Amino acid sequence: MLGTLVSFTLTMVSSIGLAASFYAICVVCDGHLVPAVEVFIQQLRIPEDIAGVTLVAFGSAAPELFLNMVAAFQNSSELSLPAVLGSAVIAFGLIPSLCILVVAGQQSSSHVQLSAWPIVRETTFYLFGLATFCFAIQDGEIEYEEALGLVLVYAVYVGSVAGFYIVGSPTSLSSPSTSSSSLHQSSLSDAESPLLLSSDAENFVESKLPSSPSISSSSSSSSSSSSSSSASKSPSVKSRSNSNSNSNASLSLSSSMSLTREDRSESEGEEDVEEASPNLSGGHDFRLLRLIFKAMWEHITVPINHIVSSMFPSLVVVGYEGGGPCTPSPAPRSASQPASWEFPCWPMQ
Amino acid sequence: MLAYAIIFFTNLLVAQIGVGTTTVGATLVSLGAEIPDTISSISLSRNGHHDGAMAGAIGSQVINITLGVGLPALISCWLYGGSLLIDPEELKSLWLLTGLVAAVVVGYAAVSLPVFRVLACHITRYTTIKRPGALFLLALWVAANAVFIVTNEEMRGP
Repeated sequence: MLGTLVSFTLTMVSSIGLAASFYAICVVCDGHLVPAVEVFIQQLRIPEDIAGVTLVAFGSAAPELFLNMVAAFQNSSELSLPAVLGSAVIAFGLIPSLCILVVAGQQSSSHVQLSAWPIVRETTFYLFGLATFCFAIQDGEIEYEEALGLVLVYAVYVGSVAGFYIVGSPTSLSSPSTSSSSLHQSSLSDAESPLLLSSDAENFVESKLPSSPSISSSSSSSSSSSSSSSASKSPSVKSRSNSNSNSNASLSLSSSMSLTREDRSESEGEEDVEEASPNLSGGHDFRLLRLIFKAMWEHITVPINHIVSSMFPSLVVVGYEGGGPCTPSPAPRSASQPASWEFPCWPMQ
Repeated sequence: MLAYAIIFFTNLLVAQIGVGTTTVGATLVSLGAEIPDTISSISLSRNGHHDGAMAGAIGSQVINITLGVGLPALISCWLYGGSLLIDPEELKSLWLLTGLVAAVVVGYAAVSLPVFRVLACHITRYTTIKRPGALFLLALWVAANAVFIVTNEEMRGP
């Protein structure tokens, strides 16, 4: 009797623990990864499937990567390898169908149009990776060379994605490969592109920031995270995160200069390709790197602040400089807040 | 840190309810690991980035099966020498799971790609997924899970 009770309690505790761990990952992902990807798609003007492959994929493969790493340090693959394959079943069966159903319900249409080429590319490479995986496990052990081969398959994958992006995919040579929605959004940021050609692009962009529509969406990525936290209702906090994301956006705007050279699928961006390429220098790449590291750092710190500030609203985490929800600071630009559309934050609406 | 917590709680759960580790790994843990993926994909596609959502969901699987298997195996080889050994029991369920994954991938390709039009040499830039196709994929996922749980527990039983 006592044993049953104990085991039941342990089961409940472990289920709740699992759910809490997954919820924490959810908070990280939905509140911060997706807005970051939106900003990247809009500001760097890369096609959304490329952003999906590189950023979304890494962000969402991160839990399993960590899981597998930990399992490797424990030298047991009993949990990690089935998890990899089981998540493949989910990713191929559940996620596309849920996406289609949600979008079809939203648009009240019965079908969703997609670009065919990314699907072909991803599926081919997945089957290739699966074949390599089968070859690796067929003798009951993964040897050093086989593991190296798997990593090599990934290198080939990234190389081919980048290669197709630079050369142009077989189906997108004639016209832009982005779909209509992202084209619309990138045309918003095209309004900014002449500004980049001035010598002090950052100052100019900063002065233009509050009125531009493409920046308002990027600032809403931070303000959505701040509005989801219960402790940060004051306008000073919001404008603080606003100005912080303004510097973020100016970073990504200036780093988008370095990417316009490869951006051949954009028909509107052609005139500033020729004009921007003489201005290219190595500094922009470091800015992009800095932006990425900042995003990664905020992945770690912002949810902790989020959780702490929702549990203890009066507590302010000292020494946090990420510009997240709970850093009060004097309001430098509260009057000129852009009229931002609220980022629809899925399940925490 | 969270990964440690997940492994710890999963081991606890396995010890309590008495199913195989591979079963739990392939269903519960992978479901948990895919929840952020699902949510990010759905929020992306709700905002109009259908391509990004799809590419993210499947590209993360490419990362999973190459880096997610390869890097830990490399680390394990470096740490413990030799190679990462796989249990024979686990190997059987891995083969079963691989077959199921291949089936689901083929189903996904058949649903999402205009196979008949490509066979008729009409290569198109866009493809459409209709609602019945999505429901078919959903049913395929449920069926694959059910088959795996039942067969794996049967294999483990005797």
